[in-house]
Amino acid sequence: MDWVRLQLQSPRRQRFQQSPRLWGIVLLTMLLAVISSAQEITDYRPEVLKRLPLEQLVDIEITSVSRHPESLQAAASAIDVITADDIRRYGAVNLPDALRLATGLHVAQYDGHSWAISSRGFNTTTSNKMQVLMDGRSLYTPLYAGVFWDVQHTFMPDIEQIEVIRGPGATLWGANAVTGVINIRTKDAEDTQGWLTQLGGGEDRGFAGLRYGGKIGDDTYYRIYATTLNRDSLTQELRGLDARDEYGMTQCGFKLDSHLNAEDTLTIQGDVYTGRFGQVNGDDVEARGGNALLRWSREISSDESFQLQFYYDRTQRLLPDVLEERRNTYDLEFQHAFELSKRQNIIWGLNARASSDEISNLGGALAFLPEKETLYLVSGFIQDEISVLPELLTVTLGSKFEYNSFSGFEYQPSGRFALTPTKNHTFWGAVSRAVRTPSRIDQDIFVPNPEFGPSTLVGNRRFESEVLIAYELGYRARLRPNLTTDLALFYHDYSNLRSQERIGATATPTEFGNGFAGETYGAELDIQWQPSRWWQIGAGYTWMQKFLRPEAGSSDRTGATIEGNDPDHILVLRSSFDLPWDLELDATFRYVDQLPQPATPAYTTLDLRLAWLPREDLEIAIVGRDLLDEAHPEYRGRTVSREIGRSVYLMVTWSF
Amino acid sequence: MELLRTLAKRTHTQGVAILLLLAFVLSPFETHAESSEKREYALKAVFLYNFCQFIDWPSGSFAHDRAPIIIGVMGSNPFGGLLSETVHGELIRGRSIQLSPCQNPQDALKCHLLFISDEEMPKMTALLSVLANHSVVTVGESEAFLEQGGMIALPSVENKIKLKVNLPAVRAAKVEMSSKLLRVADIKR
Repeated sequence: MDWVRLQLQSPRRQRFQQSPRLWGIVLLTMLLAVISSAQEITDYRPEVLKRLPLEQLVDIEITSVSRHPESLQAAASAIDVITADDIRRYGAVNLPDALRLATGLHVAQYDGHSWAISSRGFNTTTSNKMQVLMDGRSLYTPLYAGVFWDVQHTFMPDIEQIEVIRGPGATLWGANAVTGVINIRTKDAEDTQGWLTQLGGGEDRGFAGLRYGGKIGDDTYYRIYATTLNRDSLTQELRGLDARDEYGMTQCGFKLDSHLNAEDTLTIQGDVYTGRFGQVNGDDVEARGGNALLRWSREISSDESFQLQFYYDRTQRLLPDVLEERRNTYDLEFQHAFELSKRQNIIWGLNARASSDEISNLGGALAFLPEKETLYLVSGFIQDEISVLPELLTVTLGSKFEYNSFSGFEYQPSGRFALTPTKNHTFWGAVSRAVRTPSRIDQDIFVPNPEFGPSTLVGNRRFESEVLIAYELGYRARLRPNLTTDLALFYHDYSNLRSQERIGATATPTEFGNGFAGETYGAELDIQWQPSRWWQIGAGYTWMQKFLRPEAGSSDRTGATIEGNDPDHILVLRSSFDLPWDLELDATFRYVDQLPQPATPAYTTLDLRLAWLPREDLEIAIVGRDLLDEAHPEYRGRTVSREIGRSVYLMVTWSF
Repeated sequence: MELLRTLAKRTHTQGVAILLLLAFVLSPFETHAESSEKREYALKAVFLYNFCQFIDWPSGSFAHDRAPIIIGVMGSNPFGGLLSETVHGELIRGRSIQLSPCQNPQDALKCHLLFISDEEMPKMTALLSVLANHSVVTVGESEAFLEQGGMIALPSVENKIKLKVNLPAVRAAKVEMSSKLLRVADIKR
């Protein structure tokens, strides 16, 4: 729980710098050079399709960015999709592990059960600018506008795909989709029929899961699953002591899809979980929760559909001697997509949410006051996808309008274009505005608890939303049937970022204010190459620069060090071999540059997986993680740091 | 960055209105989209080609070592020229691939792979009784095809071609399906 230590950072200033503004010219020159060498080939010619492996023939489809199916190649935003096969071939046993495969995401393990996960910067264990969803349910908590990754789990083989959208997606996904959106989708119950078990372990971990999928009548499919994951504690860096951060998580759930008729589908799904997480000091954190979701979707025609969804989500978390939080969230959502004319596709929607919490302050370290609060949120969005020049230029305009009881009215418009001179080349660009709305921690936290002494950090109900104006450009190309490249450039201009402001003339007390501004810019490059049917190579490279500075009138002395600890470079290389004798060999190399504050050294590491698939229903894999060194920290703490050590585990997946 | 921000604001208000107007004005022109049906059958043709590679027929179903693999298409041919374009010139374990149009169930007996479009589904009962105990792999287009006893279905679901396999029916035909194929498939047991 890094945010418990929010107030402890050293008051050191960051360097202030201006950023270059030449992006546009550089990119345009580059793009024009590429256009002239573009080849005219259609994806659907037999000789092209014939060279694709079966896995790709059963092609990837994407729904997130425009919320109506669209091929990845033509999407006007920066996306990476982690497929079920990617997850399987990485041997991932939990979600943060799987997310390491996405280009542009920085995933850093902090302790045995906490991760810092963010795209395009501002990464901390309490990152607050990402929207994360699983099957249409929002996973971030209004407590701090971030995600408790330790309780986000599901049966890994049942994941259909994870879409990672970098940059703002706020027009469709609403407040908090500032630096990115992670959309996790599990498979339809129809595609998970029969029994499947996945279990395994090694010296430092054990995991087991079982799922059964069945059919009721002709048109109703369901599955039920249970899964458990246990991991031993890590080691403290330097001291070599046990970090006492054991991770234990057990979850079960179900999904039922009923095709009422050709048009209507009813989905009911739910999960319950319980977790226990060790801490260096103090008793274990205990978390429990559950959710239930009901969705009715209707495909009126190939051009028109709507869906109505309701979910309830309950979470409960005990941080011994700090606080206990109980939260109930109710969410109702409606969406309608239709073809306005041959040239225009409209999608619009309405959403209402109430998230009500009850926080018991248990110790002197900090307090949330008032102890009970309900966040109400009402929003609507409309987006028009206009085919300005058919098959060549598509412009997408839209905005989200939102009212929330913490910061009032917010608007989040965006304009995007996609230029497709040939089917294999897409140039896209976007300008969007996104906000990160206040959370409980921004406006209601007191440190220490005022009942125990005067607070040095007090609540501030005037805390406003953080604002981003983002400029993005991208180029995606299928240079050969077996070679794709995807480049995205971004310039993010932030204002009203969270700062720690003095209230009076003295150093304390302080409150959270909106005193920081600044920018991030960078590039993300993804290359997928398939030299042959049995060998696939992927490379993902991310470069980012971040400059934050106090705005005029700010009295902040922290230098915005709590607003993220981000590497300048991340490089992930993947190689997947299909070997004879039903063997698969996968290697993943990762390089993550150093982090500035708390300073964490750069690391390089290698993950390997060797799997034997003697029959179509059985897979036995041996997975090695972090093989290049004895141990290294991925994200240092301010007082205690944990090291991620080399590990090996066995994994058996059997369907019957 | 103040300049850019002002520009962005202007785009978002006036700019939006102008672009919307422009779009409406342009609307009467028809979009010329490539036929999605053509794409669908281009994909299905490639699936059939892949099946030739990933299925092993008993040696008795070929006249000799170099005898071609025969793909039959029942009734009307939805592929146009796409299927012959796909398999033309390909050699699989030394065998070429030949196409054979089939009008009645008896014609199907000489095939190794038989495609039955949804249109031809009424012929299923007759077909299956003729093909019983023969190593002819039947390929159809819908879930209903599998339920009627077909072996492989290629239904299009949410804009993707899915691959579904009726494993008991495949085993009854005494053909071997590679685990590579089965892994991608959704298997009905």
